[in-house]
Amino acid sequence: MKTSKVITGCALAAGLMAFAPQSQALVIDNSVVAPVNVKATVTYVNGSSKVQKVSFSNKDILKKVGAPKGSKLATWEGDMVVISDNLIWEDLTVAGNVSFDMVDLSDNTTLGKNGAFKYAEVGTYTIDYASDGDLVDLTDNAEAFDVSGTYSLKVSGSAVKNGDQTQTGKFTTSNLSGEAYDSTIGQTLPVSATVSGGGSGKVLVP
Amino acid sequence: MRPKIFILVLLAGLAGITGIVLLKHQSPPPTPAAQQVQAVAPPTTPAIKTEVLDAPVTPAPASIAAPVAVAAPPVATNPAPVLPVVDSVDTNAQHEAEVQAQIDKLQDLQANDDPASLKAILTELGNSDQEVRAAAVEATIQFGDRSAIPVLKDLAATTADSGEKKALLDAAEFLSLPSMTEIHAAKLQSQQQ
Repeated sequence: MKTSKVITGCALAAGLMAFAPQSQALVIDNSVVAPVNVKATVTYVNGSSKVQKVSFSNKDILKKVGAPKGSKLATWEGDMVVISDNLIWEDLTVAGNVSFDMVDLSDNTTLGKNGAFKYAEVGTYTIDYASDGDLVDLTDNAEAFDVSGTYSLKVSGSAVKNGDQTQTGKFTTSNLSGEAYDSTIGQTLPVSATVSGGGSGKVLVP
Repeated sequence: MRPKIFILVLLAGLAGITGIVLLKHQSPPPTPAAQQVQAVAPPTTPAIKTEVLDAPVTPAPASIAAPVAVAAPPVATNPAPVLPVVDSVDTNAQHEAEVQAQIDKLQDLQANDDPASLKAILTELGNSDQEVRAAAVEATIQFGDRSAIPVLKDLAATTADSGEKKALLDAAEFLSLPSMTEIHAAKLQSQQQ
């Protein structure tokens, strides 16, 4: 046996250990919980006629809704939820703080053996956030935004083994833009944003 | 030639031939590493062993190939389960799940606010997987600590890939902005004063 092959074999084993799954995957009611990252930049002109920018990210939303430390934003069964200690702390969509809409314009599915699949989809995406639950009139909230743009969604599923399938989803957006409102600044302002997320977990396949 | 001398020469010749034969049959002892690999993939399946070991040493295929190579006893006697004809769709799904597990870990870390979590996130900026590096940049943003700005800028200065360089600099710029929460807190403070 060549030495190079022995070394390669050892490297493979070491690689496996280094990449040993540290699964933080969360599945609730047989649906994968996919953590989400929201970030936005609001632009305005201040009293000195200078263009200013303000950042807005997950922690701003979580703080505003009073979520416990260590909480995460995530999507689950089509809703935006706050996850704390691996449980749904609050459903922000039900509470009226966040709504989002995906319009599928093009998609494709590739099927593999034993239920394995790959699915990809692109379309237009809209997300609204209202800190005080008024998604209709942004100015009724302390902070709010309404942005839209394009999205890409990829979902894959492994071969089904003993009724289990590992499903992985990735979601990205690009060029989200729209309007924001901040009561401190007191105006409706232009905003650019990105929303991305993904999750993986083992689900039972009927 | 005297009989005594003849016998001595004959014995010396026999001893020499025996020594040569013994040396020829003796091979060097295998190294511990070789023994280990042989234990994993016994010599009864040479074709499979070669195929597994010849796989490229990149993290992605390794994490998929390795369980196959390590898959134990039946491997030796039955080649079929050792290296099944892996459906590419399934292979991708497995790899994606493994990368996602690392990204999930970053998502957990970004929700914290302790220095150890930030350090762990910043370490992943140098991960060998581009997807994990991108997730680490995002996690740095979401962590929201401005002490990460110099790290992002330093890394951008040494990053050849223009896309990744831009992402690092954009992240540094985003972190330098006042956050909505800070603006609200500042207003509240000024009202109280």
